[in-house]
Amino acid sequence: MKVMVSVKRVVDYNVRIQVKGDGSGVNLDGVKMSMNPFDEIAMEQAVQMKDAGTAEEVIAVTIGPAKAEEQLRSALAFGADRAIHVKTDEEIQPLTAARILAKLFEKEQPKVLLTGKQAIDDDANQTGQMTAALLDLPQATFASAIEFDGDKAKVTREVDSGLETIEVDLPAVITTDLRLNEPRYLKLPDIMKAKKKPIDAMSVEDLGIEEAVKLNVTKTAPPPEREPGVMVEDVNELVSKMKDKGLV
Amino acid sequence: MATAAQQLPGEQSTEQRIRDVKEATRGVTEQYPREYLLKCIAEGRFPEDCWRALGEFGLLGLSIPEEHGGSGGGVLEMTALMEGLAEAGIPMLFLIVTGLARVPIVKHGTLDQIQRFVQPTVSGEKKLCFAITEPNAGTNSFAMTTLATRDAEGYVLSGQKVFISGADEADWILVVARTTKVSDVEHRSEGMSLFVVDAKDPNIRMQALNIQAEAPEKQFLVFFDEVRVPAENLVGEEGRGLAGMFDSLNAERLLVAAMSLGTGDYALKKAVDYANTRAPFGKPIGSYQALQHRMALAKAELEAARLMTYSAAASFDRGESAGGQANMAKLLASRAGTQAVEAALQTHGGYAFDRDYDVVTLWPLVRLMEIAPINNEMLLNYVGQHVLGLPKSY
Repeated sequence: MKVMVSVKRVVDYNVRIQVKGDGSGVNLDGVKMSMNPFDEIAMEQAVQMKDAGTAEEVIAVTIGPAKAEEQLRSALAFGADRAIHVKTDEEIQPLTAARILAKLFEKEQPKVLLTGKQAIDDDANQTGQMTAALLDLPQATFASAIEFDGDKAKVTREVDSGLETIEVDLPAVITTDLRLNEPRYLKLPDIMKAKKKPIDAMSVEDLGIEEAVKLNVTKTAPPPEREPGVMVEDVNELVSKMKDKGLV
Repeated sequence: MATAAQQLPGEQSTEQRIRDVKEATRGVTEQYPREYLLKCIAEGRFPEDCWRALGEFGLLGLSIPEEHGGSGGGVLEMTALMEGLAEAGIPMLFLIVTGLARVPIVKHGTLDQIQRFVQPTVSGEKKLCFAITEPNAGTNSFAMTTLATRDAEGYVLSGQKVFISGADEADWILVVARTTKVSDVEHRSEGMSLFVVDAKDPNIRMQALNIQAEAPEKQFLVFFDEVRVPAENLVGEEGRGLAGMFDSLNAERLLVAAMSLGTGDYALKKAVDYANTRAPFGKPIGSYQALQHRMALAKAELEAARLMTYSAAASFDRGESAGGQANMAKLLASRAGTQAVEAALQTHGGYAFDRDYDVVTLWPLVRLMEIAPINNEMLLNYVGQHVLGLPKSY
C-alpha cells in the first residue's frame, strides 16, 4: 500500500523555550529545530511497514518554510521514498493544515495517512482528526499498536481509561502516540542517500487552498515559577500540612 | 591515487556537511552517552560498542573515499564528528589517532595498502594507531632515532616511541621511522619513512604510562626490537615520508581542536545548567556577572576558535597548505576549551572538585591539549616564523 506521513518542523524538544520580551510568541532566533517527535514515530511506523513489505511507497509531507526541507530530508533519511513540501512562511493552524493534507491525500490516494497525535509546539492535537473529517474517512487517534489486515487496520489507542482497540476500514487517518515504537537514529549513509531523493515543492495557492480563519494569539507568557517545596519530618507532619492547605 | 578532499554528493555547503555528520553522531551519542564512557573508564575497557556503532553509522568511514568502502568527505567531516562526540561528553582519543593515521595511507598509499589497512577500519573491525613521538626527540620529530634498515626481505625496525594512544587496542601501528640516520642526510627533514607495522608482533613490547586524563584509551611506551616489516608495508616512497607525516599532523591538530571545542561546549552547558539552578542567596548564581561574563567570554572564544578550525579543515580538504591555519586553530581551540572548563570549575565552586560532579574530571584532558600533541609554544613559534616571517626563535 501507499503510505503518506505528515511531519512538522518544530523547536527541538531539548531546547529550553524562551518567551519573547513583548509576549508576542517564543523566541526562535538561532534555536535548534527538529522533526516533531510524534511525527518521527509516524515515520518509523511507515518505514517499518516498508521493511515488512506492507507498504510499497512512503511519501513524507510537510507544510512550512523553506528550511522545513531539513525535516523532509530527515524523513527521507528515515526511509521515505519521496517528499512533498508545501512551502509557506505563514503560520499554518490546524484547519488550514488539514485542508492541505486532505487535498494532498486526494491527489496521492494513499491507503493511510500517518501523523503524530500532536505537534509539540502548540500541542493542538487537531490536524489528524480534522483531516479525517474533511475527507470523510475513519480515524484512529493515539495509536500505540497498529496491525494491518487487508483493507482494515486494527489500532490500539491510548485513552484516558487505558487501552482501547478499534478496527477501521482503509483508507484511514491514524495518529501516533509515544509508545507505538522507538524511532531509529539516522545513519550517515541514509542521510546521504536522502539528498538524492525527490522533493516536490509547491505553494498553498498551487493547491487552491483557502486559508481557514485563524485563531488570534493575544499573549504568550511563561508558566509561573514553581514555589520552592517544604521538607517534612514524617507522614504525620505531611498530613497535617495538607490539612492546613485544605488538600485533604 | 585518491585525494583527501572527497566531496560529498551534490557539493554541499560547509554548514550542511557539518550538520549531516553531527546528526548521525547524535544517533551514536544518544545510545552511548557520557555515563557509558565513564563506565568504560572505570572498568578499564575500550568503548568497543560505541566504536562499532560509529562504524555502523558510517562515521568511521568519513574521510575515506566511497570507492574504498568509506563514507567520503574529508578532514572537515572528521572534525565535525570529533566535535559532535566531545560536545556530548565523549572525547574519543582513538578517533584522532585513527583519523590521522589513515590520512597518509589514503593519500600516498597503494590500493593494496588502502584495502588491507584502511578498509577494515571503516566498520571498526580493525584499529590503526600512530607512533611518531620519541622519548629523546619529543617535539623535535626530525631528531627521531627509530631506524628501519632495508635488507633482502624488507625492513628491520628498532627504536622506541612514547605517548602512543591506544597502542594496546590497535591491530596496526603507522610508525614514522628513519630509513637514513639524521647524521647521514643533507637536511634533517629527509630520510624519514612511514610503515604500517603489525601491533601484535612479538618483537613489540608496550609499557603503559600512568597518565592523568579521563579517557578510556591508555598511553604507551612502545619498544620495537628488530621488528620485521615487509617491504609492501612502506607507505609512499622510502625516505620521503615528510609530506605524509605532516598530512597526519595537520589533520591531528584539527581533530584535537575539535575535541577541545566540543569538551568546552560540554563543560559550559554543565556550568549553565548549574548556574541556572544553584541559588544559595535566593537567586541563581548565573545572574551574577562575575560568573555570567566568564561563561559568556568562554562561549565567544569557543565560537571564534570554531570558525578558525572549520575554515582550516575546509582549506585542508581543498588540498591547500593548511599548516598555518591548522596550527592557529589548535592554539585557539585548546585555549578556549580550557577556559570553558575553567569557567565550569569556578561556577561549580567546591563541588567542581567532587569527581562525581564530573567537572574536574574534564580538566586534565582539555588542559593536556595545550601541550599535546604539540605544545602551544611551538605553534606560536610556527606562526611567528612561517606566517609572520620573523626569525626562527628556538
